[in-house]
Amino acid sequence: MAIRYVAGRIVQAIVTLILFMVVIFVATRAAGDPAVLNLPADATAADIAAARQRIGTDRSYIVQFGIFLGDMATFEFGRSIVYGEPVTDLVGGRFIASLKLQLASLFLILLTAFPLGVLAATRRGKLPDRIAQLLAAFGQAAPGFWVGLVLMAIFAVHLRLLPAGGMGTGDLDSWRYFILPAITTSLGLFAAMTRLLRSSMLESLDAEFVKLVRAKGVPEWKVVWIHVFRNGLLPVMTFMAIWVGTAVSGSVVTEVVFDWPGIGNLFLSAIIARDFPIIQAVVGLVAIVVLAANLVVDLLYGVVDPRIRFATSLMERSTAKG
Amino acid sequence: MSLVESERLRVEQTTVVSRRGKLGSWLRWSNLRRLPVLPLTVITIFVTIALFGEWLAPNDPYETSLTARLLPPAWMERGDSRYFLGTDRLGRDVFSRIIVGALPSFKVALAALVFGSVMGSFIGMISGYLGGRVDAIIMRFADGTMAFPLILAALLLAAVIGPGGHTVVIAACMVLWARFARLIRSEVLSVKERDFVKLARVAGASNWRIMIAHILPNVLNSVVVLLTLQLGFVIILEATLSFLGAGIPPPTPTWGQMVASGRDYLEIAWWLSVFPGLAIAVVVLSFNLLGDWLRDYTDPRLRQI
Amino acid sequence: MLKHGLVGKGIFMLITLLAFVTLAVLFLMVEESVQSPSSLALAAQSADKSVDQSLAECPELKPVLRIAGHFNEEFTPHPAENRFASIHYTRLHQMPLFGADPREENVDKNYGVAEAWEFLPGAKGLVVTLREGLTFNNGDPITAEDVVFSIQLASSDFAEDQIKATLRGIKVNAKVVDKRKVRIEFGKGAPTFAHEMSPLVFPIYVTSKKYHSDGVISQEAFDRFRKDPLAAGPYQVVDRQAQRFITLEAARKDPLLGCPVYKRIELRNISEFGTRLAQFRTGQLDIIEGSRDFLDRATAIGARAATKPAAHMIGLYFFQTWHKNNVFHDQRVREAATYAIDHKLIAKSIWRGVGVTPWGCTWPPSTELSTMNPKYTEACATPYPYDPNKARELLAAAGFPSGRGPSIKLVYWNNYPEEGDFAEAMQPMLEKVGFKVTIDPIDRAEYARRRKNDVGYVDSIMFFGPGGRITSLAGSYSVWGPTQHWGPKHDKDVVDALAAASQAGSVEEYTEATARLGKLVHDRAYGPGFFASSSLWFVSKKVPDWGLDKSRGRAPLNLATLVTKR
Repeated sequence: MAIRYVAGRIVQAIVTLILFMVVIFVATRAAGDPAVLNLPADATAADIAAARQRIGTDRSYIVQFGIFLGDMATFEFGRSIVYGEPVTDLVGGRFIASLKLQLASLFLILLTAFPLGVLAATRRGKLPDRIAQLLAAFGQAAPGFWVGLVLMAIFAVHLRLLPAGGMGTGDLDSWRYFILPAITTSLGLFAAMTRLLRSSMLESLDAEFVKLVRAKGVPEWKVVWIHVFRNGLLPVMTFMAIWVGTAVSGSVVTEVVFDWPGIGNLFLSAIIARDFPIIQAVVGLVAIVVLAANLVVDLLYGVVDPRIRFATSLMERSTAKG
Repeated sequence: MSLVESERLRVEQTTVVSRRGKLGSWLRWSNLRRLPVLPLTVITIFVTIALFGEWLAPNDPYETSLTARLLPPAWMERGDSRYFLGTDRLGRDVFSRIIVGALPSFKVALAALVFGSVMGSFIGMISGYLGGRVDAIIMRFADGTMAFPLILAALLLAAVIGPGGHTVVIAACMVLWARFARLIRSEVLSVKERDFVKLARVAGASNWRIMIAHILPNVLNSVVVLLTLQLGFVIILEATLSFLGAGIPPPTPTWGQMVASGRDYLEIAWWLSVFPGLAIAVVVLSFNLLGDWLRDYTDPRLRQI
Repeated sequence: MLKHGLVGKGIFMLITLLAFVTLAVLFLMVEESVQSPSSLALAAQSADKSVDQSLAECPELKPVLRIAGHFNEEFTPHPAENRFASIHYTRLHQMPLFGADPREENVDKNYGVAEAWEFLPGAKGLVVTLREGLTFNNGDPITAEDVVFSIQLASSDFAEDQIKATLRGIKVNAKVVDKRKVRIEFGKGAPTFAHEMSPLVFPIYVTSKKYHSDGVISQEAFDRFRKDPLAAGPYQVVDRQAQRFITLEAARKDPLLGCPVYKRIELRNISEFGTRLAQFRTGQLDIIEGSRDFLDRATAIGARAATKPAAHMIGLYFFQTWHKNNVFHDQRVREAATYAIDHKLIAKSIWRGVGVTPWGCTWPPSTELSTMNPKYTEACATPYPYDPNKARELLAAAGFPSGRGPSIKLVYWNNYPEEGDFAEAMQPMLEKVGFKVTIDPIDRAEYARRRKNDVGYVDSIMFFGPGGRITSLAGSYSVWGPTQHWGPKHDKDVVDALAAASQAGSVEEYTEATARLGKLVHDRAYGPGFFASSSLWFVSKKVPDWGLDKSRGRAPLNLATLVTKR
């Protein structure tokens, strides 16, 4: 029954989420005592004890975990240890900044991967296909940080056509600031998307042929439409699920290279400083969104194609190279 | 010969054919002629310099020279023929550092792949063969691990256990095992239904024996293909983590680190970042192309992945 | 028919994706109309606080000054939350209790709320007389209650860790005496109080008790003030984002600092030098934190270099020398390492010889007071000469035959960007005389771990800053004092000298004691020296020379003489 399937998946998702929370909790605490880490070198034992009390690490782990879970549930992320400000204040603006960049990159991916993927499939084996494949291969082979730096060196430093990092004011005037970072972020997914499109198109070509041969008596348009609906939707959803993960976590590498005030950047500094509250908030947020996205796609998948409910899982259909 | 005996003979023959068939065809000359020459050459060079780098490097990669700082590549004005690709801010030869830097990346990649593939294949085989509940749980777990943004997880890991090669290996394994598990599992699912397996089961072979003797040889070629494809991924992961400061720490030169430390000098010494990054791109591209070719070569069906 | 499927599928995918993108764009458009939580309510600010009448008396203001550097800090407008490094902008919008001249050359009563002060006997406190007629930017007068409140704020749980620790460490207690007098008492002698609590080191600023939630000291009150601060100075904060930037705007003609020179000052944190340089070249920035490797480049692109002396201090230390199995327990080994290091060459290679001075003793840190006593400079200014032969002799005398010296580590944890290069330059120098050297970069977590156990730092040369800027107040240089498991607690002379320094009843006693301490540390080679390097800034031609190189404060930058005019 569809409801049982849905309920089952939801329960699974919640269990995974709680497991995640345990992992996050253990990981951040195993990483070092933030009380000691964030005080100056000459802090006395009394200072450290006071700091522990302020941060809350003087209580037993069980209590801490309980508090942690409760906080996560109510989106009460606490205060940054390093900055003393509420985490939501810090994270909010950063998150929007990252999202804007990810959307720009998504736009770019659609614009480029689409025509390329379709072209590659329809002109299979010929030049456009080879070019598309080579571009995709390059997109997966070249490290993002290197491409970003090279682009910056050429277009910003030497040619001075584009700004060298930063976000500008973040609104439409500053569109120039988006170009290089967006290109850098899109590389990996562009390559994956092109390949995905290409293989899905090719598969459709073959299956299409077979189906047409078989489907006698069934109205052609119906078969094609249903076939299109299924096969068209699935890779798209797969791709979106992958994209959501990147979107919400920001692309750490791009943000570091281009000094983009996003969440990835913040996360990196929080890691270095062992700033628990920020680390927990970001990882927790990402985990929730990723799990939710996967859950949604899984459910849609199951609804769209009953066979899949029993056999494969979401990632079966995506490219293995990722 | 009794019916049972002839059946057994047929089973064994089928088994032999299925076990040897793929490998045999690999070595046929007509197929070897279509090898992807360029990627293989690059890979051979890479492995050679990784293993023998210390002796191949023209200069000492650690020797600092305060008079020869930030020299451009030899063919440019102000360049010095002793330093083919120029020098860095401490006067160290970039070319030698690139050569010596191949080894850490290679070691990490190899370690990650060995652990990840063995673990993943093993789990995938069990999952595919047993099916049912076990399979569902394992696959869900695999999906979960793969869905989470890797860099975030790797950074968190680095914060807990400290930066270093071991961190990169563990981070890579977190994703690799899932990919191998998934692939092997789907392979196993299809092989499982083949005649020779069914016959083996009828003949009374234990589950283990079936898995190791019958199924494994038939999924090996997929494993090899995936291995080649994933090598590039691990090299890039290592480079990215080194770039972010969570990989192998200095003074060991790694390509990612070299790109990172050259960042501030893009304007006056672009070669510091460009060449190490180029090395990464070329090596990874070669592995990816080889993997693609292998996949098309051994089983066109696998093109889907 | 085939085409049908393909085209149909293609269109479908396109539609789905575009729908998603449209939704996202819509979402963002909605978000734009909502103010971001991290910036201040600009409208509210300008409505009631700015465009003070007094600005009319000032000459015409220049439009804007944009500065970028590696400022990895909170950029908080709350003066008690400020780190030590934020002095350069906080003193533009807040008044310190103990003033220093804008050049930060000396303590100067003309630039602080305190008009005069007198130490109690044994320097166990002081009585401060306040200047009359001073107001906050909203017109409220600065009163004695405000001063007492400010000291309580700076010692509260929510204040910045260093200043809080120091004030609590000396058990400070402030009381109102009358309308113009405040009595501040300490638990022990602190003759350096006024000096160290001034902009020369780490100032106490005066905050309005009434405005700070009517005298409430709580996290919420701090938050409220941070979101809507009250200034007391020629500038006020109008926008900021933690770790990103802070923006100041001209507010009034200040009774202490005078007229603001710029209408707007923007300070940005851009950690990548390449990015800073690129933005500098396109005219987006006027002053950037520079890099010594780019000095030639700077002049080529029309910039000037400005330096602030002794802004950064990297010290080298032998810690935990009391351990018998620490190779550095033996003074000969310590001296060997010190003679092996070519200080001049390091200065030339790491800092290109620009704005760097190698010093002899590693500690006590050369706070303003210590350097005022010529005996300290005598004891500490000259590092050991470079003498690898002597180093080898000493190692041999200590029992290490030629070429088989002890194994040691060079340890650092990213306090300064130069540390890595430093270690790599020092390694061959030490190995030349026989040491076996491993470079051991650690992170903060590891540093804390090693500190916890008693032997984490044996056989190491550690790179460090000079420790908390207010260590003299914190007493006994608490990092290296006998109770902290790092300094030479087995050396009775050092322990005695430390005690004398921390119990000094007057500035003279104090500086005499630190000079004695310095001499001991130098002669007994408890550290191979330190490097005082200036911060380096590239300045655009539009910006006049404001004498940064004469500034003696401890912050990496000082803008006061540039952006204010009395």
